[in-house]
Amino acid sequence: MYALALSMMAFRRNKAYFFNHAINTVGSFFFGYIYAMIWKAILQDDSEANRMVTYVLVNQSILWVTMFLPSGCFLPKKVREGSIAFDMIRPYSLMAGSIFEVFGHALYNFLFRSVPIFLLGVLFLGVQLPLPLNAVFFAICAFHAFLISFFLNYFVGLWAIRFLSHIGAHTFYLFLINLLGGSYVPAEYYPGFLRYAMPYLPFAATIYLPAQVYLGLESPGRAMIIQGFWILVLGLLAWVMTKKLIRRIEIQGG
Amino acid sequence: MQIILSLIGISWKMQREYRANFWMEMVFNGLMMASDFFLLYFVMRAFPIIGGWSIGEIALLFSIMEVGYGAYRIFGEGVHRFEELLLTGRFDGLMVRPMGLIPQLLLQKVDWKRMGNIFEGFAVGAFGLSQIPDWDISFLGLYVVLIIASIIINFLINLILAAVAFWTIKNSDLTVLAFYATRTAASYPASIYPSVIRYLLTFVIPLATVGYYPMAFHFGKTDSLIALFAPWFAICGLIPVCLGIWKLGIRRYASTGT
Repeated sequence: MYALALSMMAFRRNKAYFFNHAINTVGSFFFGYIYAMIWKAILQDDSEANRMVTYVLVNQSILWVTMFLPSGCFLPKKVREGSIAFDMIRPYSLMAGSIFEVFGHALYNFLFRSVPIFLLGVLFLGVQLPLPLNAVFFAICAFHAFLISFFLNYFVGLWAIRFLSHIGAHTFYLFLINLLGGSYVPAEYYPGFLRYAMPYLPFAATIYLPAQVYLGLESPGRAMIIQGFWILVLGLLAWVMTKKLIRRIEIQGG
Repeated sequence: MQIILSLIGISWKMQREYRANFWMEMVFNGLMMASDFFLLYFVMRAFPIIGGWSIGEIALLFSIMEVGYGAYRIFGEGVHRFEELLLTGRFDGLMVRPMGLIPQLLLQKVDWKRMGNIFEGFAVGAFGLSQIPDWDISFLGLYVVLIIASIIINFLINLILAAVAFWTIKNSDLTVLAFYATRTAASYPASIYPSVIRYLLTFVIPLATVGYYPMAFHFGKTDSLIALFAPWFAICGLIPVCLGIWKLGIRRYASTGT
């Protein structure tokens, strides 16, 4: 019940700015469009170019439930306002509360950002629809991707609890996702060992792996094993770090 | 003048307070923007020409856009967050002070960590030069002039977009579409886009005039002199629009109160 209420609250908070978000969504589509045009200029050949356009646009939509989660999972804001003190005394843990709050936010993003961007892609750029079975596997992988992104963002939030300012850590996170997530360049173009290492890193697990599953280029089983591994490792790490940090938390302001 | 210097000094001290964060932000800001270029470089190892441009040529185009953007963000924090000034009513305070509004906006916060973007922009530019077989001092002159034009155009476009907030109050989402997306588009050769987008980047939000047209002229992809002077035409067009919209906006402005 708590979980549902938390998710709904985050969802409603977003709905208030619907029109602004619509403009922002068109802007986000345009980013995908730029990279689609780059690939079209590179690969004149139709079927290959079409595959890359699909890859880029699927990623641009999925970014809204992965890379673009609220920075630090709302924790930095709570630290600054001091309201994190209340989160400590609630009947659910800080991390669990955070997951559901961020999930509500991601659900909103999925419905009002990911879906429209994807549809714009289908309408204007000829994005291919997935095979039905791939679509199911993609949905599962996308949910896993959300969880991994949650943990990565949650670490940024924990950084804010420990060091008060989180923007540096968040920029570092964005840099890693941008470079190693594969949002517009798939692993095969990465140089040297990165080409082999990139698909196994948690960053690719949030963007590259789901998109490859969508296109039917990666076996869903393997993708889910890699994702499952990271969910376990990052989840455990987050749980242990939360326990340790809460003991030494400093409350400022209020 | 003294006021200006002390405001700049305060920003510096303020940001140095969180020392580790300050350096992290500066370094990762630069790296984050550079990562777009790294990715393009990865791809261009396999496909050396995109839209008729080589990696070195695109690096120089990218660099001109980046340095202009970095310089804008150092002084543009007040412009960038203009809707917050309006929403909180802090803009009223600026109106009664004995200094021009725009200089005050530019000194709201001098964002030193954006130096990271400037370093990054110049680094990509230096890489570009190393890839271009023959360049001379006159090309360096052109590069510097284009960077100056890039800074001016970045400021003008953002001042215009900020003034839109006099009518709409919120403008940050519009800025994502009308500036951040177009800025990214203009960092790659405009020849890869369909003509609609090219016109948009030339006549509506003239960011393609900053680097694409003059560079295309320099590298012999067009022989129209208009292309070489494109940024200055854009600046001449943007200044009256910018002044006009600010004048109208301030006349229309009624405080939101707090």
